[in-house]
Amino acid sequence: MEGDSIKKYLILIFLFSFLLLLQESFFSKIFIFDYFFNPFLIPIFLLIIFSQKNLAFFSAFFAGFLFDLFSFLPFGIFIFSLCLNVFLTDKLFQIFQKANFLTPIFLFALFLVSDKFLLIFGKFLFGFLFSH
Amino acid sequence: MKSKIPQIIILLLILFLVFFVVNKFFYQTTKNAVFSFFSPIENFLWQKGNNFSQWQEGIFQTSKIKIDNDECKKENLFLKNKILNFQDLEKENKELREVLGLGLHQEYNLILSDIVSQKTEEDSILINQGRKNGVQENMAVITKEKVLVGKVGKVFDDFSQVVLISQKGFSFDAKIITGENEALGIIRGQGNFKIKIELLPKEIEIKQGDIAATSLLGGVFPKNLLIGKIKIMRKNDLTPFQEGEIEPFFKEIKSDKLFVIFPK
Repeated sequence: MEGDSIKKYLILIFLFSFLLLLQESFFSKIFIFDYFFNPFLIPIFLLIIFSQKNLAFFSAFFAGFLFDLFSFLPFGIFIFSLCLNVFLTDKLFQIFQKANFLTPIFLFALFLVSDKFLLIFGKFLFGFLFSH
Repeated sequence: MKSKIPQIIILLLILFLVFFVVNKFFYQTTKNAVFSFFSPIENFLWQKGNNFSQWQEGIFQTSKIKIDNDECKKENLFLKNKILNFQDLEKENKELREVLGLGLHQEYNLILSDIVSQKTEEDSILINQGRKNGVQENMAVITKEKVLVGKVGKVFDDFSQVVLISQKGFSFDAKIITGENEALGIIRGQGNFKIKIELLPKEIEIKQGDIAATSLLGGVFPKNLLIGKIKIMRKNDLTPFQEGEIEPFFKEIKSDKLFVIFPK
């Protein structure tokens, strides 16, 4: 059982490392309806929907860590915004999960929008605290 | 059941302490090391991404390509006509330059660099020249076709950030070339590779397709670097100005080479 657990975390590490490299180079040239394609949010959201809370948090932390390494913004912004987004979306999912089949679609849209807002908030907060 | 809140608070405090230490003391060295290690892979994937996006445009934007092609043919004929008129001027200009010893390569230092990757969230590009190669903050970055891309932001030992002109909050003076006239305005980045021009005089007729270029006013960039072409113009009855959206030329960059320029 513990071995299975470690296997899942390792798979997530490889998956997000691969997705990040693709996004930083390959997908950054691809626009859909004038917006860039951001693939890493999809697996994180799916983990929330399938109630894999610990894996979702780990994914958010690891993906955020990778983004922070490659970003020009203060270190920690993406970890902060992604983990907070997962926390809030998970809480909302627990409230609405018994609603209907449209709930995941609505929550995914909210997940994408709050990702942008939390990033803006993170830029403000980290710029104030850790400017260099 | 014990409350986990104190543990979570302690964890958050430790995390923020780590963020503080990294940002204050290890930011430059960490970033340079990460970019150095991953740049060969990113460079490879960037070039593959370039090829893929060209293929994708061919499939999904056929009608736009046809319209662009027809417009290019018309513009080509118009420009050929202009070339004939300019040939005499060019001859005279060349002689003057030889006499006075002027030229772009004599006015500016050029540092050739490769694009390593693009940070779409931040409207930024990573290039493979840094402090060791003489790059400094606020130097202008252009393509070989003299298209303005942006200016140097953060500089590391071997890499530099190029802040694109579309980054939110980026602003500088520019001009719109409307036939024989020019209209001065201010370019403002809107984020997500979008830019607009504001404070254009309302009385000057500006139409779709007019070219935007840098002006010497403001002293941010050298003059006559290409920026983009007008997409839409909007006039407001309440103000004496008009504004427009610009389709930036840097979005169509297919090459992975850029030049960092600075005056001698």
